[in-house]
Amino acid sequence: MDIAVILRTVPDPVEELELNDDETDLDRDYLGFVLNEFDDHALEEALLLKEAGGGSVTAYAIGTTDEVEQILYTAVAKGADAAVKLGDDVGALDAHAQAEVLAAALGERSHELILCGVQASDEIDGQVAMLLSAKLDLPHVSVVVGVEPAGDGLSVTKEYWGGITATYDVSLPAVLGVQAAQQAPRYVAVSRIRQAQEAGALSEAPFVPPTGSSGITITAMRIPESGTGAEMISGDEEAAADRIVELLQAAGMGGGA
Amino acid sequence: MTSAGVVLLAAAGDEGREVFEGFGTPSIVIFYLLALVAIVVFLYGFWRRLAKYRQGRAVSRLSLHRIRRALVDLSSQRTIGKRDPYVRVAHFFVFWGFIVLTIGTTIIAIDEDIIGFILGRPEWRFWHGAFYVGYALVLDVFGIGFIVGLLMLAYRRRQQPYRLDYERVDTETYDRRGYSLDDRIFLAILLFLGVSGFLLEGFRIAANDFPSSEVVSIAGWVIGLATSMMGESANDVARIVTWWVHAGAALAFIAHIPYAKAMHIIVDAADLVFTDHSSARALPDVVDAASPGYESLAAFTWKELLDFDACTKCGRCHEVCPARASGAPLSPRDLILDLREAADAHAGIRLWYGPGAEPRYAEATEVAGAVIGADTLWACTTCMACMEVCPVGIEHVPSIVQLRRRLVDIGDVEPGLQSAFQSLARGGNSFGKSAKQRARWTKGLDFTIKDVRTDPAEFLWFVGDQAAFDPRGAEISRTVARILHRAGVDFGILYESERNSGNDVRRAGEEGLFEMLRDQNRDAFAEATFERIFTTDPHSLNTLHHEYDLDAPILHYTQLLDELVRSGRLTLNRFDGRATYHDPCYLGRYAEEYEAPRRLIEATGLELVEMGRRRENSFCCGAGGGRIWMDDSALTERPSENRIREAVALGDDVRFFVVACPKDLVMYSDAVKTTGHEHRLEVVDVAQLLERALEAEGAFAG
Amino acid sequence: MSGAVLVITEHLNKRFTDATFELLALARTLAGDAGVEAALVGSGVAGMAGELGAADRVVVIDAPHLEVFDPDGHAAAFAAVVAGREPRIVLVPYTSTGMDVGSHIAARAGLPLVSYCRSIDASDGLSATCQLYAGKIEADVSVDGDRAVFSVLSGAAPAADGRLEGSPEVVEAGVGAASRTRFTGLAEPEGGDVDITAQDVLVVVGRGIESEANIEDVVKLAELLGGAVAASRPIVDQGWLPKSRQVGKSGLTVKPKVYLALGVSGAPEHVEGMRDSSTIIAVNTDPQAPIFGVAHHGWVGDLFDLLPELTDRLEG
Repeated sequence: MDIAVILRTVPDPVEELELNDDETDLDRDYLGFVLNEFDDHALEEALLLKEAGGGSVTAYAIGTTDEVEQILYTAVAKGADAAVKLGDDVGALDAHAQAEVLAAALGERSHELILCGVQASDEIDGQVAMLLSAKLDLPHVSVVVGVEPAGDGLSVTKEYWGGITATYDVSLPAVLGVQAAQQAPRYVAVSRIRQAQEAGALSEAPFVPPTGSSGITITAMRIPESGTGAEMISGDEEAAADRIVELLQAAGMGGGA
Repeated sequence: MTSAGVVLLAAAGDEGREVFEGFGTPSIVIFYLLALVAIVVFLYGFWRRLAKYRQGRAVSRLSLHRIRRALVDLSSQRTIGKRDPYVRVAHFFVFWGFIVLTIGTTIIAIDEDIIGFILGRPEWRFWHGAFYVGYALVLDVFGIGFIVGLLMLAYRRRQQPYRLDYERVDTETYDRRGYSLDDRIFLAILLFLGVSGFLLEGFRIAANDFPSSEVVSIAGWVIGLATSMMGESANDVARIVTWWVHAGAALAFIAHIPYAKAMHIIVDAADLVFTDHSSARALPDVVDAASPGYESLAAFTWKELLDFDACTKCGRCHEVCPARASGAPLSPRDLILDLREAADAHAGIRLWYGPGAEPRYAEATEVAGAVIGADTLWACTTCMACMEVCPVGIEHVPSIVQLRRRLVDIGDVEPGLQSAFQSLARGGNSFGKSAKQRARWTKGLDFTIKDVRTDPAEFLWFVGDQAAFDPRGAEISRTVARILHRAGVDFGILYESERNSGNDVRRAGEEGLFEMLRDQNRDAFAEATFERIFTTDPHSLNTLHHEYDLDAPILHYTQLLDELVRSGRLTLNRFDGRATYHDPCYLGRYAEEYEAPRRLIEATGLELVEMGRRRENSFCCGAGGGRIWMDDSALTERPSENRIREAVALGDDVRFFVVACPKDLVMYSDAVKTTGHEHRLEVVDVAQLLERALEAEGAFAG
Repeated sequence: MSGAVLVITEHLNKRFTDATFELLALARTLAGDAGVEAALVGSGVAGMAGELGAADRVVVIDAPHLEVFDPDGHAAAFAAVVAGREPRIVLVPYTSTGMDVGSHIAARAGLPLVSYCRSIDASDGLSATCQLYAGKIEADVSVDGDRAVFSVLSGAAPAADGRLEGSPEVVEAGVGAASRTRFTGLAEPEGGDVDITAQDVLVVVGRGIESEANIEDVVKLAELLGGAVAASRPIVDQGWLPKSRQVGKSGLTVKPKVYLALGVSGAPEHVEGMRDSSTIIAVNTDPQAPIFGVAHHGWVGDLFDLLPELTDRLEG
């Protein structure tokens, strides 16, 4: 199966986020970016499908930063057959713009399956996976936790609440928003990533600057005050333990084993 | 020939004996034929082994210094005698006895066969007269020593010490009776040779009616006295029979050397000559970037192949290994033996493993994860206790790391380790934190530490991950900072530019990540101006010193504090109490620094009570080699808990367990709680003791 | 355009989800004269319209192949409703079904989409307050134009306010395009040993627990409290606890008397599953952790330091 995987970088969740001067966006100068966790799962699912049934995996990413190149080299090191870098120094694109760029690039090629992470932490104007499927007019299932070939198409497992899952037959070509691959994303040694880098394993594709607009504007950003309404317990672990036991007893529990 | 010999002796009128006394020419010829066969079999065996070593990867190990060191090791038997004086004495006797007896036989061969027969120069023969007498005395003394040594070793074996228990600790079970049989046969043959040699001597002396000069052959003389009652001719018959038995056994022994345990006689001497005791400190570089780590047996160096053969199954490494002691499936001994079996099977050599035993791994192509299980390889803490105690110079740790490199390359990495690697790649630390948070620990200080990136300082303080990000480690760092500030030391840190030193990353097999961290750190060093480096972390100490190729001298902080105390820049008020000190693996065995922390402890007035396993024999806390990032739920007892119990056994009045490594601090602080001893034993860093001693007198009383 | 507020409803086994009623409640606060419409897609569902009393009109698409939620089919059906009704505002729940529908509707109708909304203001143009970056950032968003689709986080309005009796007008609509996905089966999770929704006390672990072995100590604490251990998604994904212990969007919703969160960051997907707990106590080393926004009491510190202290005190 000919599979395309969309990879995106997002601000590193372990970083403390700071805002820029007019507080309409993050301060991107010092931000660390990492691969979107769900895209990592999408890549893993793609590699598993290829290992089980043959075919090829091509990774796509928008941007020219070091981080973008790193995630593409990592994809190649893990087993992707090709990695395509889209674009110029574009800065942060919203979901609509990303979907437009990707649709232009993917529309030229004939991938049977496009896997993308179900969401990314900065998609305020919609999910790229879904928007892409709309642009390409392809069937789409989101929150996917399992993909298997079934006849000419796929049998896809979608997760609902409370652990309930449903399976669907999906005809190809299709776009899937992956929540979790069937196994945790594999580890690839740094030396292999370096090798991919030294082999210059990236190709570029023409970047069509997006023209559409998301139709929304962020007017302000703020860091939510932690514990508004929360009583923050001060002191060391002993003080905290004392207070928590108090609270437990007030709630009628923790009177002792 | 014989009669000429007799004539000569008679002519000289002095002491000596006839070599083939009473043998007809056919017998002599048969003997030499047998000898020839034995020698051919012997040479063939070693030729096969040499061919195997030649297939190993090249590595440079020949040096005069190593040869000199090996000669001292062998002649003094100091390596086998480490912490075991009984065995040192016993094996000393066996070793020198065997050598002298061999030289003795060689002397006869030179005198009889070369000078007498081949060169045909009877006048050059020397094995007679005073020389002969001296020879006879020496040989008897060493022969007796030889047997005494063997009996001492046999006795030790009878006591069934744990190290000689061959039961495996991993999931493999197979019949190892062949190994034990190998051991016992070896011991038996040597004893047999020694005893039969003396019997032979006794019969000969009795048969020749006790020539006076033979009194120096003490043992033979005494035996002869006992057998003389049989009469001269009976003794002569006994002599000839015993001669053939003894000669046959000796020739059989010689022939079998390369095929059984006896090969250690030659292989171990060679291993001691070529061994590098620092190969765990400065690990070998990756040979082939496209395939880091050992993919197959072909990747091992000849020295490693030699290591596998050199193992005599003495079990010392098995005994001291902290992973083995905690129930992990790693025994350094079994690792080496498995590799030997695989290498032999690969080279088509068949050692005798026991009745009906088949050589394993004949089909093996992959080593890491196959011949040696991944769980086994991951269990190692790289504490180096195995290498330190090995009497023959086997280098376990670098071989394990090479195999780990392979596991990492193929992605066989457990989730905890994976997330540590990912965190290290992203933020340069294993705590999942942003690189920017590295210097957060300094916030608790009431002064600002110099930023050595912008301000030159005498010392660059390489703090290390654990001492920066772990709250307990950070406490120590602040303590060290306060002490140094108080002493007026000019030091600075790299703030956010510091990265994990990569020591444990390298030892966990992620060579690419190690290189990345090292390059980042080296770049940071290049931008800073400083004269010396000191570090809070012994692991960092090792890699900065051995693997970073820096010009500046690198100290451990205890060495720096020791300098300050000894030079008087810090004066301590002494307080009372008893403490025990735990030598960190990477400060003790790796950096060979045992004294500075001890001096510091004693300078505070505490009385130092030593644990049994101390200094080079210190027992690892279990965190090294990346283990601190791995799941330890399968262990039966954590090494750190084992160690705390050892400390507690020193007595109720030993209140302090002193450490000098942030990982030790973390591991032992946890262990003291999980073993329920936290109210009775305080885990404290050297720096914390020092700070208490710097405070007002009476701030602490033990 | 109708100017109405259209609510995308969702149901399973002939029961509407709580999210549906929350959206109806929210819609009522936003609706102007054009009122609130609800889109109901399914098979044999016309009779359920009566439960949607909070709406003025219910637009029903009833077709056999739409009996169980089917991503492509339902997305197309809802898109058809939007195209037909031309509402001013479309409210889509931030759920698994909502994620298949929201962006599709927006793309088809050429409308902007605003995700992760906590609150919406329709009084002067359209604007919303949203959560980004797993809850670490709050953003105010304004919409260009006067029509938009909003994907709404759970808890934006009380579900009770949306459960109104009434008899809304029912309007039938035609089925959308043929579906390219086909439902083949539903699987309920295996019942776990413990039903976390029935517990009075839950001690919940997140990524901060660091390893499976550490969960043992938490189990001990939970036992001392007469409760059970639950987990956020990453813990269940690792296999350290079964799915039956998962709290959150793709797990279970719980409302215990005491919810003690240890090392849980509090991303919206988790919070939606526990927000209504009576007493929420959160412990995390990260002062910016969003869990502190929903907790009643919080302590910034290391759970490993706290655990033994708590356990000691509770043991008596």
